[in-house]
Amino acid sequence: MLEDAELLRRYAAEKSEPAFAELVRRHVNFVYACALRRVGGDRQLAEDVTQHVFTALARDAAALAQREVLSGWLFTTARNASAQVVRTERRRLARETEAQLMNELTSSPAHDAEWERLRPVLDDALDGLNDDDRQAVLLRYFEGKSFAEVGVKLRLTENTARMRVERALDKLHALLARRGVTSTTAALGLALANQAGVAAPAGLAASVTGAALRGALTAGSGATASLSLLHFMSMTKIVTGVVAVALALSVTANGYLLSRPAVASADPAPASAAIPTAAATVPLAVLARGDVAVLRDKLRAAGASEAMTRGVVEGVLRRRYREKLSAQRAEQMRTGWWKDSSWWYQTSRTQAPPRFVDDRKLLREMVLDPLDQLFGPDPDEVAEREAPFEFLPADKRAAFAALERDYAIAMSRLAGAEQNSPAGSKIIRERDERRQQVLATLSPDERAEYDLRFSPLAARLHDRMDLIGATEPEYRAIMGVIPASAADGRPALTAEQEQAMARQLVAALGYDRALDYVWAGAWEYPTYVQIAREAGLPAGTAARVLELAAETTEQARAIHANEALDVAEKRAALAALQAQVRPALNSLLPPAQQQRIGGEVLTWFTALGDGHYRFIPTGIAMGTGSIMIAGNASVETPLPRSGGRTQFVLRRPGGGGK
Amino acid sequence: MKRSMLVLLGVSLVANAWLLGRGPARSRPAVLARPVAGAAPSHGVTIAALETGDAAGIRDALRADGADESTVRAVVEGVLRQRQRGKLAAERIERARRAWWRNGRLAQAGDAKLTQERVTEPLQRLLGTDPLETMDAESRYAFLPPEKRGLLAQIDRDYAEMQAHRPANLSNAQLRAAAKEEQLLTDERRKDVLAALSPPEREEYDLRFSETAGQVSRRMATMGATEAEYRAVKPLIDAFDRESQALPKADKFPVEVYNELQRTTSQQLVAALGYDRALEYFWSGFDAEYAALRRASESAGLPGGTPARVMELDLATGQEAARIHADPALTPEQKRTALLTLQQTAQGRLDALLPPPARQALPADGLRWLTSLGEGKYLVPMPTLINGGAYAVHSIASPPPTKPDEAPALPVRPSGK
Repeated sequence: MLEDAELLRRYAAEKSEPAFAELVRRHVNFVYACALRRVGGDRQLAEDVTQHVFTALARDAAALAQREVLSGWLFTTARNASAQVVRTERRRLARETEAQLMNELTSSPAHDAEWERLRPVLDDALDGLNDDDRQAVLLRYFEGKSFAEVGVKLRLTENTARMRVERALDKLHALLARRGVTSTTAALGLALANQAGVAAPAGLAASVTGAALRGALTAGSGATASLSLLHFMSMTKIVTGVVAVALALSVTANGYLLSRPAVASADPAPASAAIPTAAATVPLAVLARGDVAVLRDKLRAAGASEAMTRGVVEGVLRRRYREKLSAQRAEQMRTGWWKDSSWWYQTSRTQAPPRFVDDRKLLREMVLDPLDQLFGPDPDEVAEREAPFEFLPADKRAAFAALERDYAIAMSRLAGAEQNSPAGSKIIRERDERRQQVLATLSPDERAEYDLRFSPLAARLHDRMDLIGATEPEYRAIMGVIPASAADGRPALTAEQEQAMARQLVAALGYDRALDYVWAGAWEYPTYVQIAREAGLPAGTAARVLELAAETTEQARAIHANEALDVAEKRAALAALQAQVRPALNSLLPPAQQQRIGGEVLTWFTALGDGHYRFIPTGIAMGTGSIMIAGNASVETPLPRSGGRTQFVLRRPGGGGK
Repeated sequence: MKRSMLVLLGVSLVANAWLLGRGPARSRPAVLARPVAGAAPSHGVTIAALETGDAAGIRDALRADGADESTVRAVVEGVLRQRQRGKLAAERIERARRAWWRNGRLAQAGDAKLTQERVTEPLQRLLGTDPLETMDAESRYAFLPPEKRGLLAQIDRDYAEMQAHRPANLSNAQLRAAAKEEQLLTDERRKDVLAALSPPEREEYDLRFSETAGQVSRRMATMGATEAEYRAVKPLIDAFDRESQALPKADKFPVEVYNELQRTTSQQLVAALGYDRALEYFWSGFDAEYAALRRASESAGLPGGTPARVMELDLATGQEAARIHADPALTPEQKRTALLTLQQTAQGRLDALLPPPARQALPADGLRWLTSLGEGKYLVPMPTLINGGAYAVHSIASPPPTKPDEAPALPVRPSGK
């Protein structure tokens, strides 16, 4: 049987409709089941969502063909499309009438008590799992795969796959418990297992395939989701749809006018019935002034999503914090304005108007800690913290994410000055010890990958990689050349070592890219890059200009060092050098672009006319971003010992100068 | 099929017309209900209204429900933040996955701007200026009459808005046009502010917001100064700043003239504050080190001048180490031994000033100037009059500096002190 990725590749490359039809056949039940849960059981909406998902799949087939496992993407896309459909539907209902909860479920799980409690919160909980865990659950329970098949998909052994699924199920169980759904993990597994049995309506696969292929052909790459949905519908369908909608609205209005419901009850629905209903209300005006735990409970009981509940509670907490901060600062200004050293105020006194800057400690006390207590860790934050460690297995990834989180929390509990105290030192020491413990569990390969991302040298090079738009292979090649000790300059690299590394860089990257890498260490580099980009000049322009600058400076220094010349002759020689360099500079960076540059950036060239020259400091492993004006020299002063000279020379392969 | 649906639609519409004709509805659905004059307020906001994520709709629903503006702002901000956090987390995760080797400080530099665009600006558009911002401005300009406080707050807001819309990136500051624009905004803001104030008000304004105010008040906080001390120091530092800014730049910079200016200002500070407090002013430029020493000595109940005395010992030790380093008669090994001896001597003097129990309250690297002697290195503190202090770091493994590190700004200790 062909893999999903291969089918997608065939469709993307050959427009193979059978390949796409096979994909739809494989996944239509899964997508439909996801959609059905998300849209509250509305079959029609679920079908729309299913069509939308497969249209998107057809449209993005080429990109998605890189994925080994499709379930995660299908799940996410179904979730997003469902959310959009539900929002649209809710707006319509809100405008026209009270909402009706359409609560038809297709098969036996609808009548199962376990499933009834699970359904409204399941997708939120699935969102709370990390990618690996979610994939495992989706494959096992929603696609009905055996552990062996899950293992094949996730490149794990059968036993590892079983463990992954079980662990994921435990986590899901914990996430659901926070949402008020308590059952044993086994019961949860049983309830989920029924999901694999949810079948899409007969004929949906065929209609979805056709519509998706039409939609993908007609939808532009930038088409919005709603536009894509329209592509499913032929004109006949649209007319029929309009009439049907009008009829539905009218009939609904009949019902409303007949029943004339009173204003919805202010009492929230009990937690066990936490199914979102458009009509459920929460007296926010009152609750927002009271206990935030009550506010949370009422929102949950009324069926608000966990994200919305968290958002509202956070808003209330932040407002209280902000009020307190303003009051504190007012008091500080009243009693000690002359020693007000809060930098939000200081730095902005002259350069920019005052800006609001958080007090981290107070924010932690009044907002972040209470939020953690009320909701547990923010799933977005957890996912974000784990993402940089994705190259590691889930347990190690979670360990690193947890220690970084704990460290950030502990430090934010200290006021600025306290961080430079024994308490701050202790927190750093504890973080480092924990990190060492986790590092000790890494295999050699994992450790190598860790160092590639988080070693001090890596941290220094990331900005430089960003500036030159390096590819991953280029980065790995550079890290293979530069020793880890280069990060802190202990011991300092000798000229011979730097020269050897320069040669290796040229061999690994090619001359032009090595040149980019080397000169990206100079503080002027970003300015030249920006100017060149905006003027449509070639990509390597910035490095070429800096290379010219370095060559010019070497010549200027030679003039300065020439004892046969007096000061006036040296000045004349520098002016002549300027005239000699000008054509080369103009060809790299036309005068109009030079005119745009201010500050010290071009002084290596412009100052030659005044008897000055300037070194362009960079280094093989030096970071970037710090502005160094050091290294100016004048022919009227003694020759500097070294200034900011670089210690190495890049040699273009096959000869030539630098 | 279509025909039957049209027939049904017609029937339904007729029924609606009849039902409507029976009389007004007893109530409206609570969703997005608008307040009606004289009508009792409704008792809640629907979950549907919240879940739309439509900030304007949520604002309207809350207002209709009778929520005060602070609550409206709280909930709308919460919703916007929640949405922003989800988006930003997804973007950051994507960045960490797709280009982890490029995910440094530069790549993350735009995140704060995104929060501005997705939370702060929509909030401003939906709800206008936050009353707390006005309150902040009121307290910032409390020395002015109320109408002028409001005016200055308005000027702040206008320029903040202009600043916010300027692109910010690493290279922008080096572009002629960007630098010009920055200068223009600073100058124009100053003009607007000054035009709003009377001469005495300008004087008070400059006392708080001139170029040097930030640096001076930072030191005032570190040394725990009084308002009178601030008012005595500020004009002296302003004059020093003016005169030093007027000196020629780059290789024409007259070092001796500058040093003399520092010495004169130092003596003026001694005259204004007394020697001990002037000394504290200088050393408080090392805000991290000085503040840590101050906390440690206060918690141990030591005399008020202790931090400055320790900093003096720090300087004397650094200068003695520099002398050893520059001594051509000593071999590297002898220099290393001499530094160890110096460390022991300094340790004894430190024990007398700041006993070991009091030093427990210092951060781990709080006495780097002393501990580094054992590694063949030494630090020379360089106190300044305006900017923060800095350490010159040397190793005896390297050649000695051609020029010794000086501290010309430091006042001369009067005899008998």
